Amino acid sequence: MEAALPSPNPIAHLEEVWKIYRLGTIDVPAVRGVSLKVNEGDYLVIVGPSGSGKSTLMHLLGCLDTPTSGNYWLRGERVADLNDSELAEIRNRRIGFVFQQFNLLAPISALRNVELPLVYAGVPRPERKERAEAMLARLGLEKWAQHKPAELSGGQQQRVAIARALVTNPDFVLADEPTGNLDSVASSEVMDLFDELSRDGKTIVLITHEMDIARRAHLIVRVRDGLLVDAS
Amino acid sequence: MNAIQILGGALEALKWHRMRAALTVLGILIGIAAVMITVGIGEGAQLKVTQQIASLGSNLLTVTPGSSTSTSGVKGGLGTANTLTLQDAKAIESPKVAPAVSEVAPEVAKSETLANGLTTWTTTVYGTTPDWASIRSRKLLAGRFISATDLANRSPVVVLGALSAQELFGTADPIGNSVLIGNLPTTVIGVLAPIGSGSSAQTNQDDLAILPITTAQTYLIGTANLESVKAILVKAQSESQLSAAYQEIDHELLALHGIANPANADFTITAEQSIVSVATSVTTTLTYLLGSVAAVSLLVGGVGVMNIMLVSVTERRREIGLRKALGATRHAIEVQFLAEATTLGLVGGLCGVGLGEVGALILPRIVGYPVSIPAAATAAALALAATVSIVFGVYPAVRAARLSPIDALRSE
Ligand SMILES: Nc1ncnc2c1ncn2[C@@H]1O[C@H](COP(=O)(O)OP(=O)(O)O)[C@@H](O)[C@H]1O
Ligand SMILES: [Mg+2]
Repeated sequence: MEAALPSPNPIAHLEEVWKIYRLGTIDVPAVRGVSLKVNEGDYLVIVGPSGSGKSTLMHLLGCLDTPTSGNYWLRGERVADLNDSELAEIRNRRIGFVFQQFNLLAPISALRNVELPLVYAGVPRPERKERAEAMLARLGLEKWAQHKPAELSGGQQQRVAIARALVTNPDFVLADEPTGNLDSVASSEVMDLFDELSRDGKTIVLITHEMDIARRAHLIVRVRDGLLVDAS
Repeated sequence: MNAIQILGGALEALKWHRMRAALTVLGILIGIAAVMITVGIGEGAQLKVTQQIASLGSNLLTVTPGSSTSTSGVKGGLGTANTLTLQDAKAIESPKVAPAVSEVAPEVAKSETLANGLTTWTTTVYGTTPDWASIRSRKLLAGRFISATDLANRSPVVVLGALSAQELFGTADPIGNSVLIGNLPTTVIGVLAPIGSGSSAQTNQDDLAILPITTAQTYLIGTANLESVKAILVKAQSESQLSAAYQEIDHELLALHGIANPANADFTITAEQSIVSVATSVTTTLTYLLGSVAAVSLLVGGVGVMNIMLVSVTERRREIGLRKALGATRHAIEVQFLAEATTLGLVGGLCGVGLGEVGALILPRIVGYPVSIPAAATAAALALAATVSIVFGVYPAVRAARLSPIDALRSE
């Protein structure tokens, strides 16, 4: 499958990728030979019904899991050839994750949560704090910097998670059903934020099962039973 | 990440889980303090028994009248018969008869009331010879011990135990003062140095009065059994000569008493050395017993710590997965958990050692004997605490760190 805007140097490139889960003696193929390119500046939505393999696809794109077969390149580098610390660096600097369940660390403040990727990037503490504060301010969360996740609304928590995903200035942001746990008002706020990030030039891969959300993107990839159905 | 960042991160993570961290530290702490104190009590008991026995005098044999193996009604019970005499003591003293014997002190004893004016004190009065002090390893606090001249003259002189002297004279110097023993006026010529403070056994050795045996026999014991003695204390030339001395004495006394069959002996010879070895083995057993109780308690504490840590790491698998997704390497996760576990182990271990040492200071006042904690027990307890916390804190974390980030993230 070719993305609409051709690029000689795709940020991410899946080629005939399979992921087969093994449950006891049964093989569950979640992704069945998917090929996909993500180019600089893309606003790509992967849409499909529940259980169609969207999350699995995102885990593969995010180097959180390894494909059973097929190739995956990130800016021309073959992911299968990378060792643990190189993968950690890629997850740290090139990819920003936004999860459905926010996945913030409960005991620490919003600010410290946003700082976390910078800790692993080896950024010194004063700069870490400065960058995290700037990112929270950009998302309109400066008032909430010292609050713990439990003291924030769902929408605020997801915006903190987005700030955390953006703080290392990654090549692309991967968001798996980011509005799945939010009410409609918070959902549209978060989606407006993604639209705005896209207008600012961020590359975004967003996963959803809701067609209204998918319509905001430039590119829609439909998934069914682990296969790409079409691209528009 | 440098060392300070790692330690800072570990401390912060422990702060998030303060209750769990506190419980872990408590488990380690109690285990270590328990090991230290129980082993310390055992060691202290052993030390004390050995010291006490040593203070009774080494290379010592005690001959007492009566048979320990008495089966017929004819012979008197141990220490009550009048079968041992001054002549027996004199015979044993002869280097020709018993070359392995170095010193001999016959002993008679009677409970008497001593009076200094209106102050009275009832104690055991011993009559003995000048060798007694050396055999019993007793030193003088003041004055002198009874002499051969006192013995020959039946002098009315007395040497007091430290406690008896204190009871009769308080803080005043008793030397040269007179003391009425029963109806016998005597002059105090010396005070024995105390053996120690504490238990009643030691106090007894400081609560006594010593007269020349001739004086005691003439004025206190009465004429009926003028020559009989309650015990003969014998010191062998050396520890290796102890059994030779035993045989010489046995042989000589059987001959003197005209007894052909040793089974019918009307005296008993006891080797203090055998008490030493029995007592030592008893207290060694005690140490092992207490030590194993302590080891079990440490094990139980360890299992508790293990549980808390296993649960903690399992609960934190999501956190591990998230950290990996955000860019933590496997190594960074391992180091973080190692730092946390080491901090817990170290804090728990040091607090435990502290508590153990405090216990060793306070406990002697309660149990009445010294508690001595061997350095090896402290080291072993610390090593075990470190092992428990590291193995059970780090091993599951290392395993979780090896999972793919998504498998760790997915776990509930
Ligand atoms: N860890 C796993 N083990 C086994 N099967 C899995 C696992 N994760 C997902 N699956 C299966 O793979 C398929 C795709 O799941 P998923 O990628 O989560 O779909 P979606 O995100 O589109 O709902 C489903 O049938 C699901 O049951
Ligand atoms: Mg999903």
